[in-house]
Amino acid sequence: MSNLTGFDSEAVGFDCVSQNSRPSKSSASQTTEFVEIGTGSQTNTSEDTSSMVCPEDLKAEVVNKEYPPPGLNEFLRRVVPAMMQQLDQNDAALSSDSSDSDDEDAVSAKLLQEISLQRAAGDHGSVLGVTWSGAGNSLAACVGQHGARAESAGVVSVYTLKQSEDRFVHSADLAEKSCVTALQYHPSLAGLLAYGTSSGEVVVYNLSDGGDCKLASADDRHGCRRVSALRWADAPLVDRFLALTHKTPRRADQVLVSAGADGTLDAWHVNAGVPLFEHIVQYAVSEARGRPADVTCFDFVKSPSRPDVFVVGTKSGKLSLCKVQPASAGVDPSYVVVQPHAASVLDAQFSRQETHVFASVSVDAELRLYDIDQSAPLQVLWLHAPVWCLCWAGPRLLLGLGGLEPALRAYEARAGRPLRAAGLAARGPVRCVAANSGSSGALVATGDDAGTVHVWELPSLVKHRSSKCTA
Amino acid sequence: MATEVEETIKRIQAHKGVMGVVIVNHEGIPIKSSLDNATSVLYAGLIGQLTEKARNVVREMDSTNELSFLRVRSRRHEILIAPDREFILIVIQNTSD
Repeated sequence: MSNLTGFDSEAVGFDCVSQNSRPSKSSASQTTEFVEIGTGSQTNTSEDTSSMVCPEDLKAEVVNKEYPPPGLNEFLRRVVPAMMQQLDQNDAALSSDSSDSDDEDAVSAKLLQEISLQRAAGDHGSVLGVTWSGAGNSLAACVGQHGARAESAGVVSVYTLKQSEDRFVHSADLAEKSCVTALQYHPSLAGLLAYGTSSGEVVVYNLSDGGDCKLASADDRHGCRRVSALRWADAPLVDRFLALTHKTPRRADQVLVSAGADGTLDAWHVNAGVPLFEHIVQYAVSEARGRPADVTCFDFVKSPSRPDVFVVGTKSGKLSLCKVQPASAGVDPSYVVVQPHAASVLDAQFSRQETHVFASVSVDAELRLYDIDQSAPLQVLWLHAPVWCLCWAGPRLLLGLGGLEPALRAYEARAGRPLRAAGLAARGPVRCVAANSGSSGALVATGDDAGTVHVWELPSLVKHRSSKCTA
Repeated sequence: MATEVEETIKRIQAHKGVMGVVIVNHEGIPIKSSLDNATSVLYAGLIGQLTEKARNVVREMDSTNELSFLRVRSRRHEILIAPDREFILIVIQNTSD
């Protein structure tokens, strides 16, 4: 403002403006930096994205388009046996705590006879197999050493019911050059007895009418290895097997199936009347990588609608469901492998009452129940000791245990609980058990490690009323 | 494959006293149930939380241990829980006399 003239001062209203000119100085300043200080705000729009799922919106099956989701079946196979066991424990706890029910399921068995199979002092054989005739009036048993060598001699002892004395008396000894490892009476034809040996031989005897007609296979069957199990086929299954021979079936034609430790199963056409003993077909059960399985047991379904299905148990614990089929040479008949045991399967048998259900027992101390339409077991019971053998007596299971007393136990199969069994006390490990069921009960025969066969009478389930003291 | 799940559910359901069966996935969503939707979702949410807590308890007490089964018993019924990495199986059983 120092360069303003007097006129300018009037214009702008300055009171005092100097007229003297003086050298003007000009100064200017230029601001090169600009700093704006202030506060600014920016509002971001927010959106709440949480979902409110109402039950009405959630349909269980729609949630997962892929159903069942991966891993669900395996998860159920893992956890369902444990869940069923826990549910059964609840049942048992409820029934023991309940003050309303005075009834207890019990079995009251009666020991009818003890039969020693030891022929000479110093004999130390175990009873390896025991079998009833269809009518329950004859009993056959074989004694030997477990894992006996082929060159050990064997014998089958036959006992017949003497009505006048109401006891079983010794009627025959069938000698073999090899140890007898499995035997089976025909379930309906009197006197037709089959057995297998440690050298792989399969023998059929017709003992009816006091005779002893012997029909035998060749020595080189089952790879010259132990015959582990034998089964006579029911009538519908006989037809299936005989259809493979393309021959016209005759009256009294029967089919016997034998299994060997070399993994083979042989079906035989047998007719005691002719006599005839002919090979029909051979199957070969294998483990992983094509190794032959050591077959320990097998059994056929008892259902007329599916007679060609059978289960095979092996030393590795594997359980295979198989079907009868035409075979050229050694085909593996298995179509599904169910959840296996952890150790050798010792016995497997189908129920006659629930025909699709079979029970299996193992060295791993487990009793398992399976349905052939499911790969996971229906029940798994741990029994604290190896279970050597089992048989069905109606809806109940009889188990032969090793290393625990009592060695013979009865179980309500589906409920998975033991039955109180008064009088059913077997001493020592029970190696084999067989039952002949009738309308009023069952005759049970057990064989033990001491070479003794015990015969029990097991009536139908008895309801016991427990007494209560009332004030 | 789906029939195996259905058969298993039926088998458990057929057991004496079983009132309901629910299968829950790892997201806490019921994928199969014999109960109505509302109840299934309720069980899935609550049991899922309880299972996780129980799992942590077991692991905190012993890091080498793991939860295998859980039972919750009440006056009217018992809830049985079988947990796994991917799924939980829940069964409700009537235990009252």
